[in-house]
Parts: sequence; C-alpha cells; structure tokens
Amino acid sequence: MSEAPVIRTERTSAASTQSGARSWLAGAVVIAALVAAPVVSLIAIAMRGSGDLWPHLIAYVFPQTVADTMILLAGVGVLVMTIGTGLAWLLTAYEFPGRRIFEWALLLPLAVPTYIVAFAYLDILHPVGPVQTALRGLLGISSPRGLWFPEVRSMAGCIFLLGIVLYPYVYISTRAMFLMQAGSILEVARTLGASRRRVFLQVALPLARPAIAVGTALALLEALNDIGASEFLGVQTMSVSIYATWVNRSNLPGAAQIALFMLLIIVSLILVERWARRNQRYVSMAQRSRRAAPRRLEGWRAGVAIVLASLPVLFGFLLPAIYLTDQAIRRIGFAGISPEIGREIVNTMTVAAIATTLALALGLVVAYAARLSRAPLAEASLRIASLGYAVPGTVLAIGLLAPLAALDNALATFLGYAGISSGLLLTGTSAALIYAYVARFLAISAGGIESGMAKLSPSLDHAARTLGETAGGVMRRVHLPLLRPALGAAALLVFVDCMKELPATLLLRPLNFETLSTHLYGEAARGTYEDGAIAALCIVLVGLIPVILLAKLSRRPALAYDARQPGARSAQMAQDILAAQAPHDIPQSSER
Amino acid sequence: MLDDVSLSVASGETVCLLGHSGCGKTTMLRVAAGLERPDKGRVVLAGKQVTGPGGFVPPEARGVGLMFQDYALFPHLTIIDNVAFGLSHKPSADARRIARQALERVGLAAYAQDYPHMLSGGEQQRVALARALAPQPGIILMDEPFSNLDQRTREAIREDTMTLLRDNGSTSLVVTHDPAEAMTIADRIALMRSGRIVQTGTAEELYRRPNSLFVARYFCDLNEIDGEASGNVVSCAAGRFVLSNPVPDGPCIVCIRPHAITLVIAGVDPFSGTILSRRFLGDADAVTIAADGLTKPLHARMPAGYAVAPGERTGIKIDPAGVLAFPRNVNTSAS
Repeated sequence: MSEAPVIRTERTSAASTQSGARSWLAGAVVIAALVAAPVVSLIAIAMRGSGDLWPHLIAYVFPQTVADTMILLAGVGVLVMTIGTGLAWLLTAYEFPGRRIFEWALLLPLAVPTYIVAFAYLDILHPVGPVQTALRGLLGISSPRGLWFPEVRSMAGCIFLLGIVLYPYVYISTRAMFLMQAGSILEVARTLGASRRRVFLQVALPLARPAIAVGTALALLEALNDIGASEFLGVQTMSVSIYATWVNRSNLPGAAQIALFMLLIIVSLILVERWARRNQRYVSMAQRSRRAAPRRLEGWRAGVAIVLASLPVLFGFLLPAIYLTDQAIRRIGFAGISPEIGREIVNTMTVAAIATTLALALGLVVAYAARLSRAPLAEASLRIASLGYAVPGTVLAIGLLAPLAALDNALATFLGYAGISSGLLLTGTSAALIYAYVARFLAISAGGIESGMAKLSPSLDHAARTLGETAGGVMRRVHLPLLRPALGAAALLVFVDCMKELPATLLLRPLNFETLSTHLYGEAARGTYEDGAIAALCIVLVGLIPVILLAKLSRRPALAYDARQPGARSAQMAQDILAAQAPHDIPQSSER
Repeated sequence: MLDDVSLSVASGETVCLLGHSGCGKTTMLRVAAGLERPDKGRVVLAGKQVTGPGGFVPPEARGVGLMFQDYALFPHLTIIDNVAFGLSHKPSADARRIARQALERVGLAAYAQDYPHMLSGGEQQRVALARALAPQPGIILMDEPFSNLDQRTREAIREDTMTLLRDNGSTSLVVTHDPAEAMTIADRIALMRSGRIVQTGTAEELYRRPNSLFVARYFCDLNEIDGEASGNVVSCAAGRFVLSNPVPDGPCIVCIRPHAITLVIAGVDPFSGTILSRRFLGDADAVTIAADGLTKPLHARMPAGYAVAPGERTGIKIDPAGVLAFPRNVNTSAS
C-alpha cells in the first residue's frame, strides 16, 4: 500500500456544476431566444407608433375591445370555476348511479375547440335550426319570428359556450386535488364534528384553491386565445380586434399595440393566479391518500346529481358532436368528400407533424439542459421556452411576421446575389406557421419531457456517465428509451393542439393554403355551411384521443413504472399527458 | 459543500468516507467521479490530473466505477445489457462475454435475460457491482452501497462484495454513514464533518485515539462528565483516571465508554450508585445507573447475566482503558 496513490484529491472545495452541460445549455439559450423573439419584436413594432391611427384606436377600438374582453374573461372565469369545482366535489364526495362514467365523460368537452362549439351552436340554435324548429312545432308557432329565443350571437352566448368547453381545466386540476387531499383530512374534519357543507366550504375549498387557480388560468388563457367563437358570436375581443386591425385596416403597429396590451392582461392574469396559489406548499404536502368515503345519494337526490353531471357533457360535447356527425354524414352522402377537404387534411397533418417533431426535439434539448446544469440560466431558458403557451396565437403571429419578413428580404437579396430567385422562403411557405406552432406549444413538450425526466433518478445518468457514455450518449441510450411514454404523450398533445390551432394559422398561412381549422373559419365567416362539419368532425375526432387516454388515468391513478405491461404503459402516458397539459402546475398524484 | 479537503487512496486499498448526512462525503465522491466540477483544487487519478487548473476530464473518460445507493440499474435494459453498458466500445461479442463473466462472478448468470425490477434488492446490488466492475475501472466508488438492503442480508452481501473487490485487487472509495460498516470494510477511514475531513486513519486509530470529541462520539455512545485535567490525570465525579491521551491542564470532558463500566459489590469500591433499569439485549445487558455525585445516569454495557434489579445499590468500577478526555470549550460542552 506504499505505491503511488490511485486517486488523490487535493484541497478540493465546493462543487456545483455537472460536467458536459455547456453545449446543451447553449442550445437551450438559443431556443429560449427564438421563443422570446416574437414578443420582443412585438414591443419594437408597437413602439413605432401608428401615427394618425392612434387617436382612432384610443377613441373607438380600445374601450370596446377591452371592455368586451374583460366581461368575457370575468364571465368565463366564474362559469368554469363554478362548473369545474362543483362537479369535482360532486364526483368526489358523493356516490350515485353512473358516477364512474361521468368521471371521464366530463373530460370530453376538452376535445371540442371553442370555434367548433360556436360553429355548431350557431347552426343548432339558428331560427330555422333543429332546436327552434322543434320548439315551434311543439308550441304550434308557424313563423320563426313568433318564438322568442335567447340570441346565441351575444356576449352571454359566448360566455356560455366558452365556459361549457373550458370547464374541464378546472375540473381536472381540482378533482386531482380533492382526491389527493380528501381521504384523511376530510374524514378528520367530519370526526371533529363538521357537517359535509362545512367541510366543503372550510376545508376542501381552501385546500383546492391553488388547483382552482391553475385550472381557471388555463381556461382563461384559452378564452383569450380564441378568435373563432368570439368573432362568430359578435364579441369584439382583443384577439378579434388584432385580426381586424391588421387584416382589414392593414395597421400593423395598431395591431401590435393592442397585442401588447393583451400581453399586459395575460401577465396580470398570471400574477393573480400566482397570488391565488400563494402558500401552495402547505397543501401539496399530504401523502397519497385514498378517497374519503363518499356519501351515497338515493332517490331524487341521485336524480339531481345525474342531471347536474350530465348537463355539461350534453352541452359541451354530445350535442355539438351529434350535430357535426349528422351534418358530416349528410354532406358526404350528398356531395361525397371533396378533394378540397382531402387536401386540407393532408396540409393540416403535414404541418402539425413537422411542428410536433421540432417541438419534441427542441423540448428535449431545453429539458435536458435544465437537468444537466444547475445554473440559473438553464432554469430560466426552460421557463422562457415555455412562455409561448401563454401568448395568444394572434399576438404571436404579429410578433413573428415582421422579423420573418425582414429575414426573408435579406435571404432573397443574399440568394439573389448568388443568382437564385428564392421567392419568400419563410413567409411565403408554411415555415412561419411551423415556427409559430413550435413557439406556442414548446411548453407542452418541454413540460412533459421535464416531468418525465424528473421521474428518472439522476443516478441513472451518473451511472451511465461513469460507464463511459457522454452526455449526449446518456440521452440516446438511457433517456430516450425511458421517456417513450412521456414523449408519446407530448407528441400527441402538441399534434392535436397544432391541428386545432386557428388564430396564428389564419394570420401566418401562405396564400391559398387551407387547413381544416381555417376552412371551418372561412365557412363560418361566410355563413355557408358546406364541408365545415366534416372538417370540424376530423378535428374533434383527433382531439378525442388524448382525452380518452386522460380518461383512463382517472380510473387508474398511481401505477408503478413497468415498461412491459401495456396497461401500465398507457396509464403512464395518460399521467404524462396530465403533466404536460398544464406545465409545472397541476398537482400530480405521484410526486412533488 | 466541501472545504479544502485532501485525501489519497492507494492501490488496492479500501477507504471509507464516513460522516453524517450533508457532511460532504457524497459530494467528495462525485468530485472524484467527475460528476461535479469543484471550484478549486485538483483530482489526480492513477498519476494523471483529471480535475484541476488547466483541465477537466469528463466522467466518461475517467475509467471509474460508480455504485449507487439505489443501484441505478437501467430499467429498460436486461441484466446482461446493463452489465454490458460500459463495454460499448468493444465488439459486441466480446462485450457479451465479459458481461457474462462479470455476472458469473456475482453468481447471477441465470438472470442475464431478466429485467431489473424482477430481481430482489440484494440481487440488484450485485448486478450493479458487476456492471461497475465489468469495464475494469481503476477505482470503484460506492455511495452507501449497502444501505438499501435489509438488516439480515446486508452483512452477507457486504462480506461477499468486499471479498470480490479484494480478490479483484480493486481500489475502492466507499461512502457510508454507519461507523460499524466503515470499521468492517475499510483499510482506512476518513471521517468528515461540515465539508472537512476531521481525522483519517485505521478503524482502530480512530476508535482508540480520536483527535476530537466529535470523532470519539461518532464511534461510541459515551458517558460524558465534566472534569479537570492535570498532567496525565483527570479527576471527575466518577473518580481519577490516568489517561492514554493526555489533554491540556484545565477543565475537560471525561468520556467513559459504556463497556468500561462493571458492577461490583456495593460498598467495596468508593464509587457506587443505584440501578435504574436493566434491559436484556441477548449477548449483552444494557444497564443504567444513577451514580452518586453525577447529575445524569450512567449507561453501561456488560456481558449478560448480571442479576441486578432496579432499585438495588451497586458498586461501580471503571476500566481506565475505556476513558478518554477532551479539553472543554464552548462547542463541546458535556450537556
């Protein structure tokens, strides 16, 4: 033992950074910059000022659009909180016939985008549509004018329709919270003499507050992002104003100013959400627990519960879905599937597939950099790269267009020197569209991958490193195979979101390039109802896939990872969907 | 986490990094493996600087084997693929052959095609060992390698592991918080506290000649009594003792090992007390005694079979070989 030492550490002091992180970190920083670029450019455009149009905006556009947006947000907020929290409690604290079916059926409206629900109801509730015609028949009224019926083309109609498809965000997060907390805490409250009513108001509700805040914030972000529903229903929201100011008045700086104001609203929305979630730590501490013994409802009480739980499913999913199916079948029977629709399906799928692939690749880089490096920069990159989710499609499009056009001109000039006539490489092709999709939905893939990676013990990485693998090799040989469920879930969600995306697609698609969603928008805007139902049905059907997987999760919560059990696999995937759906926010049953 | 630490491990030697959680022992291991990059200082591996001014060798190029508390087996790979993971630079037939040999050495060749989750904790531990040894690393680093095993299998597996490492001529650096484990497996022990190494030496050196109260306490539950040192003699309420490790004159803390205390017939020895409790522990008895003149009860360990009952008076005899003393200062008060 007197030989030279095999290992000698000399005067070693505090250690902090893991090796091999640097190039991944550089990649993550670039990606974060790409996501942040549209917002930065938006500010620059807005600063340029719209000159003589500014007074017009201030006088006529702003008051109306800000008021409409605020009323809509307030209305949708109250509605989703009431429906979402109420249902979550109903299904946690009570037992009634069909409860297990409602547990997942209540998620179904998630598959219906806001503009599709508006598209469907415009026709369903049209004076000569099925509902009013049937009512008149019932009441023996002959003229469409003879029957008073609430106008769906109104603020109230818009609030109702957005609320009825967006409440699942609150329902999912709040129910998860009730399930996690329920067991012991609620039972203790009961044994201390609290009535069910008091338990709900004084224990369950305060405990669920963070979850309600998260779910409501997500629903409101969706409402802000919406362009189709508000426009069809005649509500002048800011998304609609941005679109109109830019497309109809060709006033880019004006649109940018509205967009900037909208970003301010979003920032305050997120701040309010953070505030409503303050002291979250004390709630997420409870260990996994079983559900508190539910109270069995019988007789008329059970009937009331069933009706309450059915209404959202009926209005948010069944009615529009049945309507769309019926219309689509009629249309196909009458005119077949037009080549136009076929082309649009191909367009939609292609663009969505490319964007999904890119979003996954970039999400991997960002999440892996944050895993490798404990530098604040890595964490910041991950957060910034996830910001796109909060930026509405119209805002993103405005911010993207100017820099891309400038880049295009530069490219064209450059290639022109080389004797190549390139045309508009970015704005003239679907490249801009793909950029927007990736920027907007990177949060889903990065968040999903991050939470997938969080389940892998860091010692796996270290074991692989000391066994001779580089940082990149560890990703390839260890992470990628183990992340397959998380990657699959993220891919599915990003793909579906790309397919559904309307506002950015409308503004950024190349000339004569139609996707399923823009086709639907076009028909609804023109008031011609032709292939629209087929397009809508396609979107809803694809959108159902993640919802079904999510529904599976609600039946089988925590499951250990066992790669070779197909059942466990899809449950794992569903869990990853839940994780990706609300990046970093929704409390999960297994950890944190 | 680490503050100015230096440590050498010689070829074929097993060194334990011992300390409470958060003392920096795991960080030390990770620095050696190259998983963390220290702010300053050097790491030299087989004569070559791998961390230090002017260069950093990443973990994959260091040729170290690392074993984790949770074994870190790759859940998506079979046992044989796990063991062959570090052999990917070799032709795949060779890699399989070496991996199989490594599995045979730990007696798990039959499980080659299974997946990690199908194995028991002890088996997983052996797979992790085989995987770490397969690429023939210059040194094996182990982080609490036995602490996830249940009490009964732990000792057998520890024995097997250390025999294998010794037969292999492996050099190893093992992190543990368990002094008994460190004493069982280590050629040398480095006891750490708050990012520093407090004392390095063989188990016997640390046990018999601890350089501080902290080290003494780490290896033994001591009875601590305030006393006064003068020359090589300390006096306290339990008597006067000649020390083998003299301390500076003045106030000191006298430490009496539990097994240095024996019970004798009351009245013969000047030091006596009343039995408070006796617990039978199988091969030993744990007895607490309210000794005359002491504020706290004395804890004693003695061979089983003393027929004493609570309330009885007894004489107390203390073997000076089991008495240590340390200077008293603000940080190390007896209470």
